[in-house]
Amino acid sequence: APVKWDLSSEYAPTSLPGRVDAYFAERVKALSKGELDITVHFSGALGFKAADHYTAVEDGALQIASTPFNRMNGINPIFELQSLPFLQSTLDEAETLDRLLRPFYDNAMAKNGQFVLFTMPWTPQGFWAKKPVASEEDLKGLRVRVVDLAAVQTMKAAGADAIQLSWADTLPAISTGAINGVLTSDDGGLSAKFPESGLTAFSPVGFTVGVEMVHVNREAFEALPAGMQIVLLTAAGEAQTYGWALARKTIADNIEKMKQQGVAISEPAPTFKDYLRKSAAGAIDDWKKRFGPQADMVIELYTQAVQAK
Amino acid sequence: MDMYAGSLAVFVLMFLFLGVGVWLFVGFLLLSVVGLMLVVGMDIPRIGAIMSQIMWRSASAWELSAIPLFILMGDIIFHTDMARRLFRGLAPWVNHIPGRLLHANIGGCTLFSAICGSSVATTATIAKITAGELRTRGYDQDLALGSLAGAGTFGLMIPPSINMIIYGVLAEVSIAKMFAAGVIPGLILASLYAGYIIVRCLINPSLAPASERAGWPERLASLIDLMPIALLILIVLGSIYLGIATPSESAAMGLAATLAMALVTRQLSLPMLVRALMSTARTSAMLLSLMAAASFMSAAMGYMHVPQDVSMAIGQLDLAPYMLILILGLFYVLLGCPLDGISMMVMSVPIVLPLVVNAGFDPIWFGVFLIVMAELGQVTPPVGFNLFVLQGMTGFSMARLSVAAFPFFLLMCAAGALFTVFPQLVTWLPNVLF
Amino acid sequence: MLAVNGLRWLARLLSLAGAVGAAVAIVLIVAVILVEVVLRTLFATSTFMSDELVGYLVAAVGFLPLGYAFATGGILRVNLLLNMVQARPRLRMAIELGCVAATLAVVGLLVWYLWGNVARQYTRGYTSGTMSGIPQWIPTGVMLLGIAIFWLQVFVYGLGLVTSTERLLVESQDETAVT
Ligand code: NA
Ligand code: NA
Repeated sequence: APVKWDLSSEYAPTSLPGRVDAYFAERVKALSKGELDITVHFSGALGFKAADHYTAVEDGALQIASTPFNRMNGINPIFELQSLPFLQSTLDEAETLDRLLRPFYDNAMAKNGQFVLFTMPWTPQGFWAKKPVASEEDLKGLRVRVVDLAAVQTMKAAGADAIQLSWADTLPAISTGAINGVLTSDDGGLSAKFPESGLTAFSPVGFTVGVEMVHVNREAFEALPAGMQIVLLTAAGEAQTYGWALARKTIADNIEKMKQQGVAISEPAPTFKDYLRKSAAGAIDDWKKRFGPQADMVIELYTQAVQAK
Repeated sequence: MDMYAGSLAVFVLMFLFLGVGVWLFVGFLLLSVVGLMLVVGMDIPRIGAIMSQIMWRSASAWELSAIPLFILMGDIIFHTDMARRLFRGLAPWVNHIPGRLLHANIGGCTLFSAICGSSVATTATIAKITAGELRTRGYDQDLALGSLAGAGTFGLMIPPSINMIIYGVLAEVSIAKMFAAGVIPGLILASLYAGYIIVRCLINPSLAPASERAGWPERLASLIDLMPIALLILIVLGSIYLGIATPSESAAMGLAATLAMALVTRQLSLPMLVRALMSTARTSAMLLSLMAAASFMSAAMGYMHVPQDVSMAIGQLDLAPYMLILILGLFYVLLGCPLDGISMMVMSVPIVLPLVVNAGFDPIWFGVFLIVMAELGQVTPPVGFNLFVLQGMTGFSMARLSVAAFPFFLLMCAAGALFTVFPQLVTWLPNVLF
Repeated sequence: MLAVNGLRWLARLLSLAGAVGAAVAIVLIVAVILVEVVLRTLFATSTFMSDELVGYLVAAVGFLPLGYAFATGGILRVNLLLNMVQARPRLRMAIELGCVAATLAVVGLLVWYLWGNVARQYTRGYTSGTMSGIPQWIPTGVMLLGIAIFWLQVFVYGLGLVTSTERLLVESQDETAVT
């Protein structure tokens, strides 16, 4: 009988990570000739949130899961590095950092009985708002919905009003005017139909690039026959290539879509980006304290790798 | 064990565990543990890890905060003169309509649904206010409780609605459009229920006690009695639509306003508040622990792949549009017996939605259809949360409550059929507004 | 006998304390939400943790009073069979003890694995990773406490049945007044 695995994802099948997860499951099925069958449970259908995946995979409650790194805050500060503001603003930077961090992740996760199979990015994050956000002035009076700690700290330092809301409350809050901006990716805003709710400007400041990993329980992996392990790793490699290419293509497609829907896209001026980067200093220092004395060393490694490109 | 044999075994076990008299919340856990062992072949450590994590996750959902807060609000309204005033104020208006104050259930739930996105909270709050009053006035208990179970589900259909938000995210349709789409179907359902009560009371007038007709002077005087509740609804609705509170914060706004009113009218006392808090804690624990256990049961069904496999099997049948909706309707009625509406949605929509859209149906329309299906699940045993609420409040048996709710179940089915034949009932308003 | 009485006393005390804890949690939920609404509308800022705190408090409301709800007959069950065998006390007792044993087993399993989670969160120092930075073992520990009190209360009830000091928790149905 074929081996059956369950993969949990918090996102819809039409989302970027959802499409990559589906592609991965298809490739596994094809390469193993149906002997390894991974069912993807989209939209948190099994009842796990992304924040639960790390422990769920460790305990074998899930053999495999798809988890954004910023949902693992509080577990180990290394996982927070990729979501620090303005460290990675483009997909190229995100890919560079992702490559460098893989051994760090493997080291941390080996202690918890799991490892990373592959990663995939979202598209870069910017401001969705009623008017373009292009200067320090525009941030005043911007009531912007943010998700994580670093974003809260940065937006406050930059002079915007950071508001914490769940995703479900975000859309009603836009239509009632409780908030007038959201810090998220172009893709996130389009699939939530922001332009219909009145957020008709997108400013791609490259706040960060969200990265999601697919991670697997080591015992479950080792229980697979050797051939099937190779199949899984091969499909993972294919999905990695597919996911990063898909995100690049999506950025281009989304620019078209936004133009069609009348969204004003405003490239930020370098001075504005510098201002935002300075505003992020507090959040980054805070992270360095949590990480420990080696924090600068890791960031230096990344800075050199980016410069070398 | 294959899926069908497994599902059958679990179904039989469900009747066994629950029938023997195991506490429901424990029965759900037992059933899921045994199901995962027998059907999926999991070992105990894996089951334990799944159970503990899923239950924590579902128990700690902030969305559920509306349940204790609205129950407490209902309790305080019940302990002050607001509930009695409401009935005194309504009576002169409904006395010439067959069924009289039974319509307070329908009207109350319809109004309350406009401030509350949860079916359980709607049922609990309105039941707390109306059930005792209707009983002392000599109204037929089965009709009163059945209509409460049925009308409590409006919480899901009339905006705001938690289920609609989740569907909107799942199906990538505008949540504002979903909200607009629920208004007319909600009012149609309310009219169907009111019509049913009228017909039943015309056939058998003893279901509602006789009372004198009221003239206009009495009606106008009664408006004063309706003021407190009207003010309360206005405050909560206003806070949502002025952007002061989000829909999930509205329960706290409503509760604060109720407390303030009780304080101003000198009806709030510390002993009363403590009693209300303790009774709310007791009812909430019963409901919230049941919900956590039910979500473990949903997870178990998910690991058994039941909803996905059946959805896919339906897809392969290649049915004509109306036939597809009919089969899906049957599937959801069955799925709604053991599952709650939200689990039902997240497990099936990824597979079912493309089929339905291919058959030419509008995704917004299908969202409303799914809401009707979720409403049906609220009043069917063994996992019917509106029935649990009423059982907890009245002590009536599940069997009696299910039978009392059955006519309203049939009316919901009829409404589902009506919306399928005339989809404009659903899609007209969102298309006009947006 | 003394030990049984002592245990029963302890269970009652803990159950009541749990219910009081939940009542406090309800008040805190209202407070947190109102503070959030005031901060957002009047001061254009946020607590940055209201959803999170409300979530923890909801879990406390859902589980802390479970023992109290059980002892006061507030946990739902299907009484059909128990009412049918009313005339046969021995059979009835056997069924009830079976229900108690099954409950202790499966809830015991839940307590054990919840304990595993809480202990892991404590030893590894997992936090929420948000503005609140709350150590995760605290809110999960509260849920564990509630379930454990429930287990103890069921255990004491079973013990009372065996030593015939406790009456069956079967409310007569369909005649009970609406309260
Ligand atoms: Na509603
Ligand atoms: Na049901």
